[in-house]
Amino acid sequence: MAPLVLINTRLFTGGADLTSRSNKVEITSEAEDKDATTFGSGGWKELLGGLVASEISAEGLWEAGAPGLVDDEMWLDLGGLGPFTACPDGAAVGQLAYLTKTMTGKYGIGGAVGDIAPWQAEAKSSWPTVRGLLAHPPGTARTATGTGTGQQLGAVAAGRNLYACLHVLSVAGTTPSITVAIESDDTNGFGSPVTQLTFAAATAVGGQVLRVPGAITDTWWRPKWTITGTGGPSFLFALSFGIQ
Amino acid sequence: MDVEAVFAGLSQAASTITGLRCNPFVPDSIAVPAFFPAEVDIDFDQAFAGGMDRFVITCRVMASRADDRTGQAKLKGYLARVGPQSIRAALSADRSLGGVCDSLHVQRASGYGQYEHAGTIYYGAEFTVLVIGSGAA
Repeated sequence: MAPLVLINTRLFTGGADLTSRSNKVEITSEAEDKDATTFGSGGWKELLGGLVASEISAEGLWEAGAPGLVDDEMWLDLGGLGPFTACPDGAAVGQLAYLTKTMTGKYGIGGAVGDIAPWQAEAKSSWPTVRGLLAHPPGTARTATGTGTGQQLGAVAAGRNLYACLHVLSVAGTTPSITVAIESDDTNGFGSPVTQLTFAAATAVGGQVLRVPGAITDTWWRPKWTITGTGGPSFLFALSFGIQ
Repeated sequence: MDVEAVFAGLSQAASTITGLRCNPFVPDSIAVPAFFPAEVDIDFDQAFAGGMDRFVITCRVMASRADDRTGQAKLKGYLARVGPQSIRAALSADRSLGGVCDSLHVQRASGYGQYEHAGTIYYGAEFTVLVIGSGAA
């Protein structure tokens, strides 16, 4: 990916697509440095990596009044744990995505008279921050059961996990329900798919984050969704996944 | 957010002032008292994915110079914060301009003085209007 002007960065937290109401996002991951210097270190410090943590900060333009808008979502998330996904340049399937389970620790609003009402938020990772891919685009409405495009994430080694963040962004219908799962297989044909993780059935706007431990030798991964309900059930959702 | 629609919305809002002749563009010739959006500065991409653009629009109001006291009195009425002649109040009545923007703020009135337009001198003033709205629309 070439150097990039941040214009089309996509940002999802919980059941909110904050993209068009955010104008800054920063993700910082840092490992503690642990001193392991000895008399045998030849006069140079020796360091070992300690605990790793990520911090996320974002800000933008305040909006409120419905589930999925920034103010509604942030008050819901404050102090809680939930999914976070950021895509540097668009949200097409296969785009680079950073995802994690975050604890939203700070949310600020308000400004001076005449300002465009702002918001600022900070969150800290509760699970590893994963450099993965977008598995399902946020702008494609799903009205019937189906599967998505396969992505070759690779195998999950022992001691590592497959992580996935689901952001259900809109729900329509009389009794709508969607159950999203992640399937794996050893080829892109998905001739014998295996369901590796399944999110709880979603009937409203919201987010979920799951992980499944390795070892899993399959290298191809795709989303699967099962939709039920009456009154024309329809869903918009974003799904990101990756291995860490 | 469409510049033409925003200019039309501002003109429409100002036209609720009785007797004020409004155009959504800079007219070649004007019949005073007249109001029109004249210039716009646009800041694109105030949010990701074209979520917000920001317009700063300069609107101009012109009044007759045929009689100094009468012309300036009329202009002062347009500069009032509130009241039936207040341009600020008229523009602020519907801050979405009928849905063509998210919000607006009449930030200031300035430049009270004499303006030449198409070779004629008028009393006039300028209004600076901040308009925000989706860049995707």
